[in-house]
Amino acid sequence: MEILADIRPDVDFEMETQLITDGILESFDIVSLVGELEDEFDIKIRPKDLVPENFNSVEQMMEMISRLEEE
Amino acid sequence: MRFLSFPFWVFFLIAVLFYYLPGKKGQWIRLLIVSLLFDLLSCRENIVFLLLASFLVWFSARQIRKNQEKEVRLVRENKGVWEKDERKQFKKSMEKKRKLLLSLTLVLIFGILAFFKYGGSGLLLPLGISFYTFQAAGYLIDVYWEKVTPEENPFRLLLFLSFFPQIIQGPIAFYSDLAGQLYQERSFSGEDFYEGMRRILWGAFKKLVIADRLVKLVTFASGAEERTGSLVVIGVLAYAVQLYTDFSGGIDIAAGIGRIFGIRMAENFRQPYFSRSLAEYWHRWHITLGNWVRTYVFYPLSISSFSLRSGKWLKKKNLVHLSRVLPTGVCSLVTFLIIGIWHGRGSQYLLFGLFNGLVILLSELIAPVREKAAKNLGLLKERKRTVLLSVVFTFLLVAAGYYFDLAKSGTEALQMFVLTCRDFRPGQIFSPDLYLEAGLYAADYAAILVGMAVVFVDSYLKENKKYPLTAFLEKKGSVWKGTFLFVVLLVVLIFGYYGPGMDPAGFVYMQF
Repeated sequence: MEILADIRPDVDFEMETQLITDGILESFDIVSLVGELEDEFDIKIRPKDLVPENFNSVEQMMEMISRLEEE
Repeated sequence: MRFLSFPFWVFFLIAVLFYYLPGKKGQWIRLLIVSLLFDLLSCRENIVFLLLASFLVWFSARQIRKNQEKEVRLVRENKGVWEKDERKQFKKSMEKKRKLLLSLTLVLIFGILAFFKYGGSGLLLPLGISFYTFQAAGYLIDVYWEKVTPEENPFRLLLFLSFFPQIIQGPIAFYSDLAGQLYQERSFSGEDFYEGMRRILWGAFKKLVIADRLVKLVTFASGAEERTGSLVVIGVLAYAVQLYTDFSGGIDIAAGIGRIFGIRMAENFRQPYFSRSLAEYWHRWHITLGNWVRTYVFYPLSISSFSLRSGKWLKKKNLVHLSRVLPTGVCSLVTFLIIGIWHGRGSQYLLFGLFNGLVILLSELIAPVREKAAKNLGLLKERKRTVLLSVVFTFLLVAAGYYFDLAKSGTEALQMFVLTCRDFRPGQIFSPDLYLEAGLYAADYAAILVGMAVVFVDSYLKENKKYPLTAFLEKKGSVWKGTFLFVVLLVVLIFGYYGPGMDPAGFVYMQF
């Protein structure tokens, strides 16, 4: 959550479930997010993981992270 | 074969009957036959390249899939036998093979495209090669990323690449969006037919009433012997209208044709001239190309370890904003260069990409300063005035980009900019004689202006998600709907602009 709030202080991340589909997060935000998440959780996010279904809500992001941690 | 030509409509009628009449069984095969026939009639022997690309990509995709399956199988079989390192090693070696196959195939199909586009051999560009090459590459990368399961039947993949409404000028489809729809079986639907016809007529209106008329003004203004800055500006503005109505009109026609076959194609435009920034414009203009380069070029580049590492390095130096913007901005610049090159040979297209990429990079760089300035000036984001200001400013940037599109070389584009600043004669802009000299009558300009007003109102309503006409017709039922189509058809027939031989000018985007 802190990471997200840092990148976009103006968005209420707990409420949003269509972050990508509705275009709330822009390309530049997504790229910074990927960098921060990789550092924080020691994972490697690949181009194929960049689909709306992985980034539309905080919950989905957490799911993706735990999946990538296992790999 | 062009959409707006008599032979095409005969072909289309037969195709629709051939698709629906014999029943649902084998419908996709008939759609494939129709699509190949269209390609064969349009570009004869060059159909070979379409077949070649399809077969190559079909084959590689299957090999990549087999490799993935083998990896999973062997890892499962050797569970508990292999050490962690051993497993990683094995996975890496398999991945390497897949990557090699992917790269080789991509080099081959893009090589063919490059040969035709930049080879300068004077060969005729095979119809739609830019579009189907991009679709084929996207499909293969999706298989490599395990986003989609590869198609086992090569002919089904061939249909995805050759589907005739989109082969002339896109939209560029993602496999996951389009393929399923193509293979689906369906019976004729009155609603699809009505929506399809409406979309076709709307496209024909934009193209025949506005775009084809404006061609003369654009050619006149950019080809005049004594060129002035004001003439350049007239040419660029006319081109902005012509390009949008031509390209989006062509897409409307393609989408309508697809819809009559029950297929909903991806949208390619969302009122692009209402964008509030150049970055937004590229999300609303030629959307499918934008999505393609974002997915397969921009994101892979910008989340590559090199790009992310450069960001981290800048952050360590305490340049937080720069760390967020600079590496990503450079990747977007590269992406725009590719968009530029995609449009054609010639240095002007390279400059076109450079211009767009630099403007976006710069606007991200100065974003904090800009926001501060806006605050101090009291320009609130939601205020109507601010919105209007950003829309106008963005349009000017887009128009500046068209200088490169109109010029025949990079140098000429730069000369046009110089002319605009040094020899601008306001009198020319308002001189009726000049417009008549272009070879159009006053009545033509009246048709253009009324047409533009109609398109503007339509766009404005769509932008605000209001559809009063659709709602009205839905309420009134089929008699009114039919009458409406008939009226639009009459308008297009009477006010459409037909050149010699009744052959409306080819779509601008056909050459790409």
